[in-house]
Amino acid sequence: MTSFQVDEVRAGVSVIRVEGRLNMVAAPELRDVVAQAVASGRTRLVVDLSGVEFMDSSGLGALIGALKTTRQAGGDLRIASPGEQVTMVLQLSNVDRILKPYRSSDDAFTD
Amino acid sequence: MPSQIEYTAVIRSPPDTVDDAHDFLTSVWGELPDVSAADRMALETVLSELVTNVIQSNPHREVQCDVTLKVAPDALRLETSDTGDQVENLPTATAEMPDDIAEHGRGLALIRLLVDDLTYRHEGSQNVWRILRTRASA
Repeated sequence: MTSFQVDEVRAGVSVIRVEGRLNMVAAPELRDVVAQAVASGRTRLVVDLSGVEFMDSSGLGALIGALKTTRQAGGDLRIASPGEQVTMVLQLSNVDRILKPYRSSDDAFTD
Repeated sequence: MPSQIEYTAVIRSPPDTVDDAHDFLTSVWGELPDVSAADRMALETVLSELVTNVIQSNPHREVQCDVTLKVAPDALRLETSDTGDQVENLPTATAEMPDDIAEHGRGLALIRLLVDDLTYRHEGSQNVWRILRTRASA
């Protein structure tokens, strides 16, 4: 089972910590979690991927959909701390060009 | 030591999901500590994409997908055989990713980047996908 925990870490920035796999089963849940966060006014989001042991193209699609959701609301979405397999998938798919991985969720909104 | 070891799993969706296919590989790796991390990651990604495609292509009915993994000293061979609708409009042989902001269409391109050979055949009434990945440590 994949889990999602949302915490407002500082003014205007919330971190969604994902634990488990981001595949066809969990990807719709991530989209929902992001949609709810944005609906409640949290539009600057970091998805902390350190607990994601595996991600495939369904997870990539959900991240890109989530990015669009935040930007349409005037915010942004960043990703942080991907592991080895997640990094491989981000690089092979070139999605790291539009979702640059930050080293940690603390670094993600410092620029 | 046998030259090749074979493992099989049957995925029936519903109720099975892509997680069940993934769990199958995870349990196989437990018996094969010499398979490299790169090979494990590649095969897990490939199988997840293949089974996702089977389930998503047949949304309104039950589908069975037989999974076979053959582990040889020099190569890993993965085969899925499913009862879903015949695959049409096969994408071209290139490994092109869609536009940066597309939310779909990366699965098969990812597979192609992770394997040395990929074939699709409609055999009997089944869709059969076969992949070959040469082992890094061979």
